[in-house]
Amino acid sequence: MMLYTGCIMKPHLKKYFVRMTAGFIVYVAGVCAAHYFHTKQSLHEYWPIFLFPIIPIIYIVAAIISFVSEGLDELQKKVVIEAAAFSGIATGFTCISYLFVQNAGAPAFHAEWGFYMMWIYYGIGTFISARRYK
Amino acid sequence: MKNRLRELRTARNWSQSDLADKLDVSRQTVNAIETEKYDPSLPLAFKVARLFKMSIEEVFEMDGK
Repeated sequence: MMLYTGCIMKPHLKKYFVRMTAGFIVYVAGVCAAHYFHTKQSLHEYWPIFLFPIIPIIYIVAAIISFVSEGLDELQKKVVIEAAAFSGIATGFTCISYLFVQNAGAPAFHAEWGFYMMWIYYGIGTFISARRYK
Repeated sequence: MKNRLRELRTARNWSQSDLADKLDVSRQTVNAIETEKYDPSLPLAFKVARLFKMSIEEVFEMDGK
């Protein structure tokens, strides 16, 4: 997503940038705290702390949705929505298809692959969708 | 949907960026509308028509009409 128009940051972009930065700082702090509690066996009873990074993730998702709905014009929204739809469908079908390949002897599927795949498909979807309106 | 956006814009010596700023959209959106690859929403069509002090029908025309 575009961040700057010239040297002046548009208000929506500024708000998005501030919210994303704050969200990521709290997320990193949450991950560090969760890692610390995880490594200390005596603190395992405080397991709810492991869920702490979920809170900034929800905040980051809300910031992204807010930016898409308020900060983009209608064509840009259309491109983002088409790319997200393509990414969701393609990731889902690739994951389910891989399970068949896995049954045939391929390496076990790792959850993080789904995350990387989703962003790769999102990039492909954005490229295809944006080209249609060029 | 056909439109006269390019004709109206060039008659006023506006660049696509100028028009985009006036409509509060991106230059790519103006280009996509001009090349008829994208049909604007009704609010944006009204905005365009008001900017040129015309009715929507004078700026946009349905195909086959």
